[in-house]
Amino acid sequence: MTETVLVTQNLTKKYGSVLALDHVSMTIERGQIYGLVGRNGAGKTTLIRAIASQTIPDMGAIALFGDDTAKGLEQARRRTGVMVETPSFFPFMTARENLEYYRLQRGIAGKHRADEALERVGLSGTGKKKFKDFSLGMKQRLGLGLAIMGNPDFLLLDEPVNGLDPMGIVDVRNMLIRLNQDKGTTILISSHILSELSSLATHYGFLNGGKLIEEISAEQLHDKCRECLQFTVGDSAKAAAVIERVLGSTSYEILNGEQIRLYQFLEESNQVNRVLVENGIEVYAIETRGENLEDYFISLVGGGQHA
Amino acid sequence: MLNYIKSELYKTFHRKYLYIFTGICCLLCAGVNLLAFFANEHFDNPVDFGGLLSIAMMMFPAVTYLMLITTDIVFSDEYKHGTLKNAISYGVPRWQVYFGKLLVSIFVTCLSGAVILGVFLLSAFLVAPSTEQSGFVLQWFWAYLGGAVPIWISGISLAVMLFSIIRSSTAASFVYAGVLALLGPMVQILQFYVSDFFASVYAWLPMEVLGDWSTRIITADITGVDTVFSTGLFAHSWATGVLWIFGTCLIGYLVFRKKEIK
Repeated sequence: MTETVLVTQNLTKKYGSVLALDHVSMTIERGQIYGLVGRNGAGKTTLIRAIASQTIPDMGAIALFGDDTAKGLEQARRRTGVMVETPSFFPFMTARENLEYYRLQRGIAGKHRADEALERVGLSGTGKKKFKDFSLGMKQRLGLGLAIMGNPDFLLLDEPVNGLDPMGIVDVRNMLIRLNQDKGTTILISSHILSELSSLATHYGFLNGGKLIEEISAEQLHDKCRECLQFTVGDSAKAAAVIERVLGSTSYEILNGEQIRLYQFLEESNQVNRVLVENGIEVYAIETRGENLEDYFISLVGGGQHA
Repeated sequence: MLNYIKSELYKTFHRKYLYIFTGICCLLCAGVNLLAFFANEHFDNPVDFGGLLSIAMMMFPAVTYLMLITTDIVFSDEYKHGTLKNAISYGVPRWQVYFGKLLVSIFVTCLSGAVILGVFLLSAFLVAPSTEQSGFVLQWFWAYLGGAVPIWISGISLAVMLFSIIRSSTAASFVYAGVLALLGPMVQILQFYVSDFFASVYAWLPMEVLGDWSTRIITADITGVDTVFSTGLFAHSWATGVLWIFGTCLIGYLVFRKKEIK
Protein backbone atom coordinates (compact mmCIF):
# COMPACT_ATOMS: atom_id res chain seq x y z
CA MET A 1 0.00 0.00 0.00
CA THR A 2 1.36 3.43 -0.91
CA GLU A 3 2.09 5.62 2.07
CA THR A 4 0.44 9.03 1.97
CA VAL A 5 2.99 11.69 2.77
CA LEU A 6 0.80 14.78 2.70
CA VAL A 7 -2.92 15.33 2.90
CA THR A 8 -4.48 18.76 3.14
CA GLN A 9 -8.19 19.26 3.67
CA ASN A 10 -9.95 22.55 2.96
CA LEU A 11 -6.85 24.56 3.73
CA THR A 12 -7.84 28.20 3.83
CA LYS A 13 -5.80 31.31 4.55
CA LYS A 14 -6.87 34.91 4.33
CA TYR A 15 -4.69 38.00 4.46
CA GLY A 16 -7.01 40.89 5.10
CA SER A 17 -9.59 40.68 2.33
CA VAL A 18 -7.41 38.51 0.10
CA LEU A 19 -8.12 34.77 0.08
CA ALA A 20 -4.64 33.37 -0.44
CA LEU A 21 -5.75 29.75 -0.07
CA ASP A 22 -9.31 28.73 -0.78
CA HIS A 23 -10.27 25.32 0.55
CA VAL A 24 -7.25 23.53 -0.88
CA SER A 25 -7.46 19.76 -0.59
CA MET A 26 -4.63 17.71 -2.00
CA THR A 27 -2.85 14.42 -1.55
CA ILE A 28 0.76 13.49 -2.21
CA GLU A 29 1.77 9.85 -2.13
CA ARG A 30 5.19 8.58 -1.20
CA GLY A 31 7.70 8.69 -4.01
CA GLN A 32 5.93 11.35 -6.07
CA ILE A 33 7.50 14.52 -7.37
CA TYR A 34 4.56 16.88 -7.18
CA GLY A 35 4.88 20.04 -9.26
CA LEU A 36 2.86 22.99 -8.03
CA VAL A 37 1.98 25.29 -10.90
CA GLY A 38 0.38 28.69 -10.66
CA ARG A 39 0.67 32.35 -11.54
CA ASN A 40 2.32 34.91 -9.29
CA GLY A 41 0.02 35.34 -6.35
CA ALA A 42 -1.83 32.08 -6.98
CA GLY A 43 -1.01 30.84 -3.50
CA LYS A 44 1.89 28.44 -4.11
CA THR A 45 4.19 29.96 -1.51
CA THR A 46 1.36 30.38 0.98
CA LEU A 47 0.46 26.71 0.57
CA ILE A 48 4.02 25.56 1.10
CA ARG A 49 4.41 27.88 4.09
CA ALA A 50 1.23 26.52 5.60
CA ILE A 51 2.44 22.94 5.20
CA ALA A 52 5.78 23.96 6.72
CA SER A 53 4.00 25.61 9.67
CA GLN A 54 5.45 29.01 8.88
CA THR A 55 1.95 30.36 8.56
CA ILE A 56 -1.06 29.14 10.45
CA PRO A 57 -4.08 28.51 8.22
CA ASP A 58 -7.42 30.01 9.20
CA MET A 59 -9.20 26.77 8.43
CA GLY A 60 -8.53 23.23 7.32
CA ALA A 61 -6.27 20.39 8.27
CA ILE A 62 -2.85 19.09 7.36
CA ALA A 63 -1.63 15.55 7.85
CA LEU A 64 1.98 14.56 7.31
CA PHE A 65 2.86 10.87 7.05
CA GLY A 66 -0.67 10.03 8.12
CA ASP A 67 -0.61 12.05 11.35
CA ASP A 68 -2.59 15.24 11.86
CA THR A 69 -2.12 15.67 15.60
CA ALA A 70 -0.03 18.56 16.89
CA LYS A 71 2.58 16.24 18.37
CA GLY A 72 2.56 14.05 15.29
CA LEU A 73 3.07 17.00 12.96
CA GLU A 74 5.95 18.22 15.11
CA GLN A 75 7.62 14.84 14.72
CA ALA A 76 6.71 14.59 11.04
CA ARG A 77 8.31 17.94 10.26
CA ARG A 78 11.61 16.47 11.37
CA ARG A 79 11.32 14.18 8.38
CA THR A 80 10.85 17.12 6.02
CA GLY A 81 13.31 19.47 4.40
CA VAL A 82 12.02 22.92 3.50
CA MET A 83 13.17 25.72 1.28
CA VAL A 84 10.71 28.60 0.97
CA GLU A 85 11.42 31.76 -0.98
CA THR A 86 14.88 33.22 -0.60
CA PRO A 87 16.91 31.06 1.77
CA SER A 88 17.65 32.72 5.07
CA PHE A 89 20.85 32.28 6.99
CA PHE A 90 22.99 34.27 9.38
CA PRO A 91 25.02 36.70 7.31
CA PHE A 92 27.92 36.78 9.74
CA MET A 93 28.61 33.04 9.46
CA THR A 94 30.11 30.96 6.66
CA ALA A 95 28.18 28.29 4.75
CA ARG A 96 29.64 25.55 6.90
CA GLU A 97 28.94 27.41 10.15
CA ASN A 98 25.35 28.04 9.13
CA LEU A 99 24.77 24.38 8.34
CA GLU A 100 26.58 23.31 11.49
CA TYR A 101 24.27 25.58 13.50
CA TYR A 102 21.24 23.83 12.05
CA ARG A 103 22.85 20.40 12.34
CA LEU A 104 23.23 20.98 16.08
CA GLN A 105 19.72 22.39 16.35
CA ARG A 106 18.20 19.42 14.60
CA GLY A 107 20.22 16.87 16.50
CA ILE A 108 21.65 15.39 13.31
CA ALA A 109 24.51 13.12 14.30
CA GLY A 110 27.85 13.29 12.54
CA LYS A 111 30.00 16.39 12.18
CA HIS A 112 30.63 15.46 8.54
CA ARG A 113 26.97 15.99 7.61
CA ALA A 114 27.37 19.71 7.04
CA ASP A 115 30.36 19.15 4.77
CA GLU A 116 28.51 16.38 2.98
CA ALA A 117 25.54 18.65 2.27
CA LEU A 118 27.83 21.42 1.03
CA GLU A 119 29.51 18.98 -1.33
CA ARG A 120 26.19 17.80 -2.75
CA VAL A 121 25.13 21.34 -3.61
CA GLY A 122 28.52 22.44 -4.87
CA LEU A 123 29.48 24.79 -2.05
CA SER A 124 32.35 22.90 -0.48
CA GLY A 125 34.88 25.44 -1.74
CA THR A 126 33.41 28.54 -0.08
CA GLY A 127 35.81 28.43 2.88
CA LYS A 128 35.66 31.53 5.06
CA LYS A 129 33.29 33.47 2.83
CA LYS A 130 30.41 34.83 4.89
CA PHE A 131 26.84 34.28 3.80
CA LYS A 132 26.35 38.03 3.34
CA ASP A 133 28.91 37.91 0.51
CA PHE A 134 27.18 35.05 -1.36
CA SER A 135 25.60 35.50 -4.77
CA LEU A 136 21.91 34.66 -5.19
CA GLY A 137 22.78 31.33 -6.77
CA MET A 138 25.06 30.41 -3.87
CA LYS A 139 22.33 31.35 -1.39
CA GLN A 140 19.87 29.12 -3.23
CA ARG A 141 22.34 26.24 -3.14
CA LEU A 142 22.88 26.68 0.59
CA GLY A 143 19.12 26.67 1.09
CA LEU A 144 18.96 23.38 -0.75
CA GLY A 145 21.87 22.09 1.27
CA LEU A 146 19.96 22.80 4.47
CA ALA A 147 16.82 21.17 3.12
CA ILE A 148 18.61 17.92 2.25
CA MET A 149 21.06 17.80 5.15
CA GLY A 150 19.00 15.54 7.35
CA ASN A 151 18.19 13.13 4.50
CA PRO A 152 14.51 14.02 4.71
CA ASP A 153 11.73 11.79 3.50
CA PHE A 154 9.78 14.77 2.18
CA LEU A 155 11.14 17.90 0.51
CA LEU A 156 9.16 21.12 0.24
CA LEU A 157 10.82 23.38 -2.33
CA ASP A 158 9.52 26.78 -3.34
CA GLU A 159 11.21 28.04 -6.50
CA PRO A 160 14.44 26.15 -5.79
CA VAL A 161 16.19 27.06 -9.06
CA ASN A 162 15.68 30.84 -8.78
CA GLY A 163 18.91 32.61 -9.48
CA LEU A 164 20.76 29.52 -10.64
CA ASP A 165 22.68 29.46 -13.89
CA PRO A 166 21.80 26.80 -16.47
CA MET A 167 24.43 24.38 -15.15
CA GLY A 168 23.12 24.94 -11.65
CA ILE A 169 19.58 24.20 -12.75
CA VAL A 170 20.74 20.94 -14.33
CA ASP A 171 22.67 20.03 -11.17
CA VAL A 172 19.65 20.64 -8.98
CA ARG A 173 17.37 18.71 -11.28
CA ASN A 174 19.71 15.74 -11.33
CA MET A 175 20.13 15.89 -7.56
CA LEU A 176 16.38 15.87 -7.01
CA ILE A 177 15.87 13.00 -9.43
CA ARG A 178 18.62 11.03 -7.69
CA LEU A 179 17.08 11.69 -4.28
CA ASN A 180 13.71 10.57 -5.54
CA GLN A 181 14.91 7.48 -7.33
CA ASP A 182 17.68 6.33 -4.99
CA LYS A 183 16.26 7.31 -1.62
CA GLY A 184 12.56 7.44 -2.42
CA THR A 185 12.34 11.07 -1.30
CA THR A 186 8.94 12.60 -1.96
CA ILE A 187 9.14 16.12 -3.33
CA LEU A 188 6.69 19.03 -3.53
CA ILE A 189 8.19 21.65 -5.81
CA SER A 190 6.87 24.91 -7.14
CA SER A 191 8.53 26.69 -9.99
CA HIS A 192 7.90 29.38 -12.58
CA ILE A 193 10.16 27.57 -15.00
CA LEU A 194 7.50 25.19 -16.23
CA SER A 195 9.81 23.51 -18.71
CA GLU A 196 12.06 22.57 -15.79
CA LEU A 197 9.10 21.26 -13.85
CA SER A 198 7.93 19.18 -16.77
CA SER A 199 11.24 17.32 -16.81
CA LEU A 200 10.92 16.50 -13.11
CA ALA A 201 7.39 16.11 -11.90
CA THR A 202 5.40 12.91 -11.76
CA HIS A 203 2.25 14.75 -10.71
CA TYR A 204 0.96 18.28 -11.00
CA GLY A 205 -1.32 20.54 -9.03
CA PHE A 206 -2.60 23.70 -10.67
CA LEU A 207 -3.34 26.61 -8.36
CA ASN A 208 -5.28 29.66 -9.44
CA GLY A 209 -6.59 32.39 -7.18
CA GLY A 210 -5.90 30.25 -4.11
CA LYS A 211 -7.94 27.35 -5.47
CA LEU A 212 -6.54 24.00 -6.53
CA ILE A 213 -8.24 23.73 -9.89
CA GLU A 214 -6.77 20.46 -11.07
CA GLU A 215 -4.54 17.60 -9.99
CA ILE A 216 -3.19 15.37 -12.69
CA SER A 217 -0.42 12.85 -13.14
CA ALA A 218 2.36 13.44 -15.63
CA GLU A 219 1.11 10.52 -17.69
CA GLN A 220 -2.38 11.93 -17.89
CA LEU A 221 -0.98 15.34 -18.75
CA HIS A 222 1.16 13.81 -21.44
CA ASP A 223 -1.90 12.15 -22.94
CA LYS A 224 -3.83 15.39 -22.88
CA CYS A 225 -1.00 17.41 -24.36
CA ARG A 226 0.40 15.05 -26.93
CA GLU A 227 0.53 16.10 -30.53
CA CYS A 228 -2.59 15.47 -32.57
CA LEU A 229 -4.66 16.55 -35.52
CA GLN A 230 -7.74 18.41 -34.35
CA PHE A 231 -10.69 18.43 -36.74
CA THR A 232 -13.71 20.66 -36.49
CA VAL A 233 -16.42 18.66 -38.26
CA GLY A 234 -20.18 18.57 -38.73
CA ASP A 235 -20.64 15.38 -36.69
CA SER A 236 -17.75 14.13 -34.59
CA ALA A 237 -19.42 10.77 -33.82
CA LYS A 238 -19.82 9.99 -37.53
CA ALA A 239 -16.25 11.14 -38.13
CA ALA A 240 -15.06 8.74 -35.42
CA ALA A 241 -16.86 5.88 -37.11
CA VAL A 242 -15.15 6.72 -40.42
CA ILE A 243 -11.74 6.94 -38.75
CA GLU A 244 -12.23 3.49 -37.24
CA ARG A 245 -13.73 1.83 -40.32
CA VAL A 246 -11.64 3.38 -43.09
CA LEU A 247 -8.37 4.39 -41.43
CA GLY A 248 -8.41 1.49 -38.96
CA SER A 249 -7.42 3.71 -36.05
CA THR A 250 -8.82 3.90 -32.54
CA SER A 251 -6.31 6.48 -31.42
CA TYR A 252 -8.72 9.38 -31.33
CA GLU A 253 -10.66 11.44 -28.81
CA ILE A 254 -14.07 13.06 -29.29
CA LEU A 255 -13.95 16.43 -27.54
CA ASN A 256 -17.51 17.46 -28.21
CA GLY A 257 -20.20 17.24 -30.94
CA GLU A 258 -18.00 19.11 -33.41
CA GLN A 259 -14.39 18.43 -32.52
CA ILE A 260 -12.33 15.29 -32.67
CA ARG A 261 -8.64 14.68 -32.09
CA LEU A 262 -6.65 12.08 -33.97
CA TYR A 263 -3.34 10.97 -32.52
CA GLN A 264 -2.16 9.11 -35.62
CA PHE A 265 -1.44 10.11 -39.23
CA LEU A 266 0.05 13.38 -37.98
CA GLU A 267 1.99 13.89 -41.25
CA GLU A 268 -0.97 12.90 -43.43
CA SER A 269 -3.61 15.45 -42.60
CA ASN A 270 -4.51 15.81 -46.30
CA GLN A 271 -5.23 12.11 -46.62
CA VAL A 272 -7.34 12.05 -43.48
CA ASN A 273 -9.24 15.10 -44.67
CA ARG A 274 -9.94 13.43 -48.04
CA VAL A 275 -11.17 10.24 -46.39
CA LEU A 276 -13.56 12.16 -44.14
CA VAL A 277 -14.92 14.26 -46.99
CA GLU A 278 -15.32 11.22 -49.29
CA ASN A 279 -17.36 9.56 -46.50
CA GLY A 280 -19.76 12.47 -46.21
CA ILE A 281 -18.20 14.23 -43.22
CA GLU A 282 -18.17 18.01 -43.39
CA VAL A 283 -14.72 19.27 -42.37
CA TYR A 284 -14.58 22.94 -41.33
CA ALA A 285 -11.05 23.15 -39.93
CA ILE A 286 -7.91 21.08 -39.40
CA GLU A 287 -5.08 22.03 -37.10
CA THR A 288 -2.02 20.35 -35.67
CA ARG A 289 -1.97 20.72 -31.88
CA GLY A 290 0.52 19.81 -29.24
CA GLU A 291 0.61 21.43 -25.85
CA ASN A 292 3.43 21.64 -23.40
CA LEU A 293 2.92 22.23 -19.72
CA GLU A 294 2.87 25.98 -20.20
CA ASP A 295 0.21 25.81 -22.91
CA TYR A 296 -1.85 23.45 -20.79
CA PHE A 297 -1.60 25.73 -17.77
CA ILE A 298 -2.52 28.82 -19.79
CA SER A 299 -5.51 27.08 -21.32
CA LEU A 300 -6.56 25.95 -17.84
CA VAL A 301 -6.48 29.36 -16.18
CA GLY A 302 -7.20 31.61 -19.12
CA GLY A 303 -5.02 32.38 -22.07
CA GLY A 304 -2.44 35.08 -22.57
CA GLN A 305 -1.35 35.50 -19.00
CA HIS A 306 1.98 34.52 -17.55
CA ALA A 307 2.47 31.64 -15.09
CA MET B 1 15.57 21.84 23.97
CA LEU B 2 19.17 20.86 24.63
CA ASN B 3 19.86 20.75 20.89
CA TYR B 4 18.38 24.20 20.46
CA ILE B 5 20.46 25.60 23.28
CA LYS B 6 23.62 24.00 21.84
CA SER B 7 22.97 25.58 18.47
CA GLU B 8 22.29 29.01 19.99
CA LEU B 9 25.50 28.83 22.00
CA TYR B 10 27.40 27.79 18.88
CA LYS B 11 26.02 30.77 16.98
CA THR B 12 26.57 33.23 19.82
CA PHE B 13 30.18 32.25 20.34
CA HIS B 14 30.80 32.56 16.61
CA ARG B 15 29.78 36.20 16.74
CA LYS B 16 32.54 38.70 17.30
CA TYR B 17 30.18 41.14 19.05
CA LEU B 18 30.07 39.17 22.28
CA TYR B 19 33.84 39.36 22.54
CA ILE B 20 33.90 43.00 21.50
CA PHE B 21 31.23 43.91 24.06
CA THR B 22 32.94 42.01 26.87
CA GLY B 23 36.30 43.40 25.87
CA ILE B 24 35.09 46.99 25.82
CA CYS B 25 33.43 46.62 29.21
CA CYS B 26 36.59 45.09 30.65
CA LEU B 27 38.67 47.91 29.20
CA LEU B 28 36.31 50.50 30.63
CA CYS B 29 36.41 48.92 34.09
CA ALA B 30 40.17 48.55 34.01
CA GLY B 31 40.43 52.08 32.61
CA VAL B 32 38.44 53.58 35.48
CA ASN B 33 40.60 51.72 37.96
CA LEU B 34 43.74 52.87 36.19
CA LEU B 35 42.51 56.46 36.35
CA ALA B 36 42.00 56.02 40.07
CA PHE B 37 45.56 54.73 40.33
CA PHE B 38 46.96 57.80 38.58
CA ALA B 39 44.76 60.07 40.63
CA ASN B 40 46.05 58.45 43.80
CA GLU B 41 49.61 59.04 42.65
CA HIS B 42 49.13 62.72 41.92
CA PHE B 43 46.35 64.01 44.10
CA ASP B 44 45.33 63.99 47.74
CA ASN B 45 42.23 62.10 48.90
CA PRO B 46 43.19 58.73 47.43
CA VAL B 47 40.45 56.44 46.23
CA ASP B 48 40.63 53.15 48.03
CA PHE B 49 39.31 49.73 47.03
CA GLY B 50 36.04 50.44 48.80
CA GLY B 51 35.71 53.70 46.90
CA LEU B 52 36.03 51.88 43.57
CA LEU B 53 33.44 49.34 44.69
CA SER B 54 31.10 52.21 45.59
CA ILE B 55 31.52 53.68 42.11
CA ALA B 56 30.69 50.26 40.65
CA MET B 57 27.58 49.94 42.82
CA MET B 58 26.35 53.31 41.59
CA MET B 59 26.47 51.81 38.10
CA PHE B 60 24.29 48.80 38.96
CA PRO B 61 21.02 50.37 37.79
CA ALA B 62 22.68 51.31 34.48
CA VAL B 63 23.84 47.71 34.05
CA THR B 64 20.19 46.79 33.49
CA TYR B 65 20.35 48.61 30.18
CA LEU B 66 23.32 46.46 29.16
CA MET B 67 21.14 43.33 29.38
CA LEU B 68 19.71 44.49 26.05
CA ILE B 69 23.07 44.13 24.34
CA THR B 70 23.79 40.53 25.30
CA THR B 71 20.21 39.54 24.53
CA ASP B 72 20.46 41.22 21.14
CA ILE B 73 23.67 39.30 20.43
CA VAL B 74 21.87 36.03 21.19
CA PHE B 75 18.77 36.98 19.23
CA SER B 76 20.95 37.94 16.23
CA ASP B 77 18.21 39.84 14.34
CA GLU B 78 16.43 36.61 13.44
CA TYR B 79 13.37 38.46 12.17
CA LYS B 80 15.45 40.67 9.91
CA HIS B 81 17.42 37.71 8.54
CA GLY B 82 14.33 35.51 8.32
CA THR B 83 16.08 32.60 10.00
CA LEU B 84 13.36 31.75 12.51
CA LYS B 85 11.40 30.02 9.75
CA ASN B 86 14.13 27.39 9.39
CA ALA B 87 13.63 26.30 12.98
CA ILE B 88 9.84 26.45 12.89
CA SER B 89 9.60 24.54 9.59
CA TYR B 90 11.71 21.77 11.02
CA GLY B 91 9.25 21.32 13.86
CA VAL B 92 11.20 22.98 16.65
CA PRO B 93 8.34 23.94 19.00
CA ARG B 94 7.92 27.62 19.57
CA TRP B 95 8.26 27.21 23.34
CA GLN B 96 11.72 25.74 22.77
CA VAL B 97 12.69 28.69 20.59
CA TYR B 98 11.42 31.21 23.11
CA PHE B 99 12.74 29.69 26.31
CA GLY B 100 15.89 28.44 24.63
CA LYS B 101 16.78 32.01 23.72
CA LEU B 102 15.95 33.15 27.24
CA LEU B 103 18.18 30.54 28.87
CA VAL B 104 21.05 31.20 26.47
CA SER B 105 20.73 34.95 26.99
CA ILE B 106 20.92 34.47 30.75
CA PHE B 107 23.91 32.12 30.46
CA VAL B 108 25.84 34.34 28.06
CA THR B 109 25.12 37.44 30.14
CA CYS B 110 26.29 35.70 33.31
CA LEU B 111 29.44 34.51 31.57
CA SER B 112 30.24 37.93 30.14
CA GLY B 113 29.33 39.53 33.45
CA ALA B 114 31.59 37.20 35.36
CA VAL B 115 34.53 38.08 33.12
CA ILE B 116 33.87 41.82 33.43
CA LEU B 117 33.39 41.56 37.18
CA GLY B 118 36.57 39.55 37.50
CA VAL B 119 38.58 42.11 35.53
CA PHE B 120 37.10 44.95 37.56
CA LEU B 121 37.71 43.38 40.94
CA LEU B 122 41.20 42.24 40.11
CA SER B 123 42.28 45.57 38.62
CA ALA B 124 40.67 47.47 41.51
CA PHE B 125 42.43 45.24 44.04
CA LEU B 126 45.75 45.76 42.29
CA VAL B 127 45.61 49.54 41.90
CA ALA B 128 43.79 50.75 45.00
CA PRO B 129 44.77 50.38 48.63
CA SER B 130 42.51 48.34 50.88
CA THR B 131 41.31 49.70 54.20
CA GLU B 132 39.11 48.41 57.00
CA GLN B 133 36.23 50.32 55.46
CA SER B 134 36.87 48.55 52.18
CA GLY B 135 35.91 45.33 53.90
CA PHE B 136 32.48 46.67 54.84
CA VAL B 137 31.95 48.07 51.38
CA LEU B 138 32.88 44.71 49.88
CA GLN B 139 30.11 43.13 51.95
CA TRP B 140 27.68 45.71 50.66
CA PHE B 141 28.92 44.99 47.15
CA TRP B 142 28.14 41.27 47.37
CA ALA B 143 24.82 41.95 49.06
CA TYR B 144 23.79 44.45 46.41
CA LEU B 145 24.95 42.05 43.67
CA GLY B 146 22.83 39.31 45.19
CA GLY B 147 19.81 41.59 45.14
CA ALA B 148 20.49 42.97 41.67
CA VAL B 149 20.87 39.63 39.88
CA PRO B 150 17.13 38.79 39.76
CA ILE B 151 16.41 42.33 38.57
CA TRP B 152 18.97 42.02 35.80
CA ILE B 153 17.55 38.65 34.79
CA SER B 154 14.11 40.25 34.62
CA GLY B 155 15.69 42.77 32.25
CA ILE B 156 16.88 39.91 30.06
CA SER B 157 13.39 38.40 30.16
CA LEU B 158 11.89 41.75 29.18
CA ALA B 159 14.36 42.04 26.30
CA VAL B 160 13.57 38.50 25.07
CA MET B 161 9.86 39.33 25.21
CA LEU B 162 10.33 42.50 23.18
CA PHE B 163 12.68 40.93 20.62
CA SER B 164 10.24 38.04 20.19
CA ILE B 165 7.16 40.13 19.56
CA ILE B 166 8.55 43.21 17.82
CA ARG B 167 10.05 42.44 14.41
CA SER B 168 12.38 45.41 14.38
CA SER B 169 15.22 44.98 16.86
CA THR B 170 15.76 48.74 16.82
CA ALA B 171 12.17 49.38 17.83
CA ALA B 172 12.41 46.66 20.47
CA SER B 173 15.52 48.32 21.88
CA PHE B 174 13.81 51.68 22.12
CA VAL B 175 10.82 50.15 23.85
CA TYR B 176 13.17 48.38 26.28
CA ALA B 177 14.94 51.61 27.15
CA GLY B 178 11.60 53.37 27.37
CA VAL B 179 10.19 50.83 29.80
CA LEU B 180 13.22 51.07 32.05
CA ALA B 181 13.52 54.83 31.96
CA LEU B 182 9.95 56.04 31.72
CA LEU B 183 7.77 53.49 33.42
CA GLY B 184 8.71 54.75 36.87
CA PRO B 185 7.91 58.42 36.22
CA MET B 186 4.68 57.44 34.46
CA VAL B 187 3.55 55.36 37.41
CA GLN B 188 4.42 58.23 39.75
CA ILE B 189 2.26 60.57 37.69
CA LEU B 190 -0.58 58.09 37.95
CA GLN B 191 0.00 57.90 41.67
CA PHE B 192 -0.27 61.68 42.04
CA TYR B 193 -3.22 62.26 39.78
CA VAL B 194 -5.19 59.00 39.75
CA SER B 195 -4.78 56.80 42.79
CA ASP B 196 -2.42 55.94 45.64
CA PHE B 197 -2.69 52.36 44.48
CA PHE B 198 0.04 53.18 41.99
CA ALA B 199 2.44 53.76 44.86
CA SER B 200 2.31 50.01 45.45
CA VAL B 201 2.92 49.43 41.74
CA TYR B 202 5.88 51.82 41.85
CA ALA B 203 7.53 49.79 44.59
CA TRP B 204 7.52 46.74 42.32
CA LEU B 205 9.26 48.32 39.35
CA PRO B 206 12.73 46.81 38.77
CA MET B 207 14.59 50.09 38.31
CA GLU B 208 12.98 51.53 41.42
CA VAL B 209 14.08 48.50 43.44
CA LEU B 210 17.66 49.01 42.29
CA GLY B 211 17.30 52.72 42.97
CA ASP B 212 16.27 51.89 46.54
CA TRP B 213 19.46 49.87 47.02
CA SER B 214 21.59 52.71 45.65
CA THR B 215 19.92 55.27 47.93
CA ARG B 216 20.63 53.16 50.99
CA ILE B 217 24.28 52.89 50.04
CA ILE B 218 24.68 56.62 49.48
CA THR B 219 23.11 57.46 52.83
CA ALA B 220 24.70 54.63 54.80
CA ASP B 221 27.11 54.75 57.68
CA ILE B 222 29.85 52.22 57.43
CA THR B 223 28.88 49.94 60.26
CA GLY B 224 28.19 46.74 58.45
CA VAL B 225 25.93 45.24 55.84
CA ASP B 226 23.00 44.60 58.16
CA THR B 227 22.57 48.27 58.92
CA VAL B 228 22.11 49.00 55.25
CA PHE B 229 20.34 45.98 53.93
CA SER B 230 17.75 43.64 55.32
CA THR B 231 16.27 40.26 54.54
CA GLY B 232 13.09 42.07 53.56
CA LEU B 233 14.99 44.06 50.96
CA PHE B 234 16.51 40.90 49.53
CA ALA B 235 13.15 39.18 49.43
CA HIS B 236 11.57 42.20 47.74
CA SER B 237 14.32 42.26 45.09
CA TRP B 238 13.91 38.58 44.35
CA ALA B 239 10.12 38.77 44.38
CA THR B 240 10.19 41.73 41.97
CA GLY B 241 12.59 39.93 39.68
CA VAL B 242 10.61 36.69 39.71
CA LEU B 243 7.33 38.55 39.13
CA TRP B 244 8.71 40.42 36.13
CA ILE B 245 10.35 37.30 34.74
CA PHE B 246 7.09 35.38 35.02
CA GLY B 247 5.00 38.21 33.60
CA THR B 248 7.25 38.96 30.64
CA CYS B 249 7.67 35.25 29.82
CA LEU B 250 3.92 34.74 29.87
CA ILE B 251 3.15 37.70 27.65
CA GLY B 252 6.10 37.10 25.37
CA TYR B 253 5.41 33.42 24.77
CA LEU B 254 1.65 33.82 24.33
CA VAL B 255 2.19 36.42 21.61
CA PHE B 256 5.14 34.62 20.00
CA ARG B 257 3.39 31.28 19.62
CA LYS B 258 0.75 32.82 17.37
CA LYS B 259 3.07 35.06 15.44
CA GLU B 260 3.46 34.57 11.72
CA ILE B 261 7.04 33.68 10.94
CA LYS B 262 8.29 34.86 7.54
